[in-house]
Amino acid sequence: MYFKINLSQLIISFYFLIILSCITMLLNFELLIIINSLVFLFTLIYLIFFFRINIIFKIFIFLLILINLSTITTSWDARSIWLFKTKIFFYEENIFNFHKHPQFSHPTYPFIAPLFASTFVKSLKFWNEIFPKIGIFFLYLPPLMFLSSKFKKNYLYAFLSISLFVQGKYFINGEIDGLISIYFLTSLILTYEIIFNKHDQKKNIIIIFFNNIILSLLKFEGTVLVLLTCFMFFIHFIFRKKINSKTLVLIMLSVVPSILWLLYSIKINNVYQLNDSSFGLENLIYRLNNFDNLMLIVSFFLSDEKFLLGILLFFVFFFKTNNKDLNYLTLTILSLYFIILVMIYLSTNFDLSWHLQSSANRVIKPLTLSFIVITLYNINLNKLKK
Amino acid sequence: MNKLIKFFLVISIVVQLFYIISNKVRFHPKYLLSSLKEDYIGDLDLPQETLEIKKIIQEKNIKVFNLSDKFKNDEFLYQRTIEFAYPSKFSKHSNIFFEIIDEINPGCEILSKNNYTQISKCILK
Repeated sequence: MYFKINLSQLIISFYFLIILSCITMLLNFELLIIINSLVFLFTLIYLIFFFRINIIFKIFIFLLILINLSTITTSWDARSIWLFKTKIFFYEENIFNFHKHPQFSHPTYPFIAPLFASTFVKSLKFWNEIFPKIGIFFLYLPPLMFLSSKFKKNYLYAFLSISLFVQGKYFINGEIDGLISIYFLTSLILTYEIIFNKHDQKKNIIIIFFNNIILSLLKFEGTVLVLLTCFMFFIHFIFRKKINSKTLVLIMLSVVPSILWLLYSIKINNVYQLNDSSFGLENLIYRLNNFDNLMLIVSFFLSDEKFLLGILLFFVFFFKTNNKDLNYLTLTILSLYFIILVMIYLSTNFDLSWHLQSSANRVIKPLTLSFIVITLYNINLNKLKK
Repeated sequence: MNKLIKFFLVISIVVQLFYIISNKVRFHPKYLLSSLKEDYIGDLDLPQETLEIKKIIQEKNIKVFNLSDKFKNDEFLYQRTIEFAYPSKFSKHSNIFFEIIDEINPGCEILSKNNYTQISKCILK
């Protein structure tokens, strides 16, 4: 029997399988968990060995899988939060006992990545310190496939090289910040394509719907980024009538799961007094009075050379490319996110310098990657129009 | 020209991958072969106390345990022990305490001594 699917269908299949795997885990339906994992692995084999897609991209994915399976997880957050949550979900029958999880694992954090990773361990039926991390890497597949479809020939190799340059070890070390960058970049490009560039509307809307659901449930930073893209859709619906109401409703629906989780996490935090909150409004008010705090945060961000390079490249090409809509959309979303990041740091319960030192270079990655890759995407679009 | 650019871009990908595996993560090809073995931990750097506690927990089938203040005050030791010992769970309500060897805590009776840790039965405060 002969069957053939195109790239968009394959990307949507991966997204769908990720969501379905998580639902089967939540329902603790063991047979479906195993079937789903197997289908995911077969789809991956199909992608790597049979699907017609750029060979360098296939090798890139294959090598990253091998490297992931050849590394031990050592980074603090990966072990104490993400891999530990995966372990809890693997062993526990009832995964809803979040209030019983140790406080250092941050029970109220969103958990789609460890939940998905645990499906493969459940299928294997035993734990070790290497294999469970592979599920976190598998989450990269659909957005990477989507992004790679936006670049042809040398632009594709440039995209892969830039991704490695900005993300580096985050493709491998079991942390979530790299995923946030790649998923956000996908949402950003899709937001532009749906609002301004009306090709493949139906497919793009399905992909952004799944992409936003996963992004918003990776970490709270993801929730903020999805809310920002929703805000852009809302603005263009109200003031510029660029999209229809159906699209807007679907985009808004994609943020619902994370809002429900946010409300639930606030509830369990209060009811069980988990004290799992790193921020306070009183800190924000107190720190806003001192300009030095603001300078400290900005200086930390600007000391990241990759971030500076991203800003530089973006503004060099800002006026040289014809896609003003894309430039202004990107600049608006990234500026708003930057302001929100500054506000979040100002409201931290921890010592500000310590908090910046331990996380600033991680949380800035979505901005860095977006500045550089959107510039590349812009140049690519310009070339295609000529 | 296009082929030359392609060559340099592909080389940049390969060089970066090599840089990452040699400098940024704990990579070894032997892990790949063992990645599907049960309980495999490779050369994971865990405190001796943590490894010993896991071994005792498995041997004695301990489901719930507590940790002394000395453990709790060392964030690295505390977190690594709890996550590595899972599915055996840490509970502040358990009166079976793992203590660091030769630790003396009031209200605790030492049940057994090991190389790096000891097990005590303590009166809960």
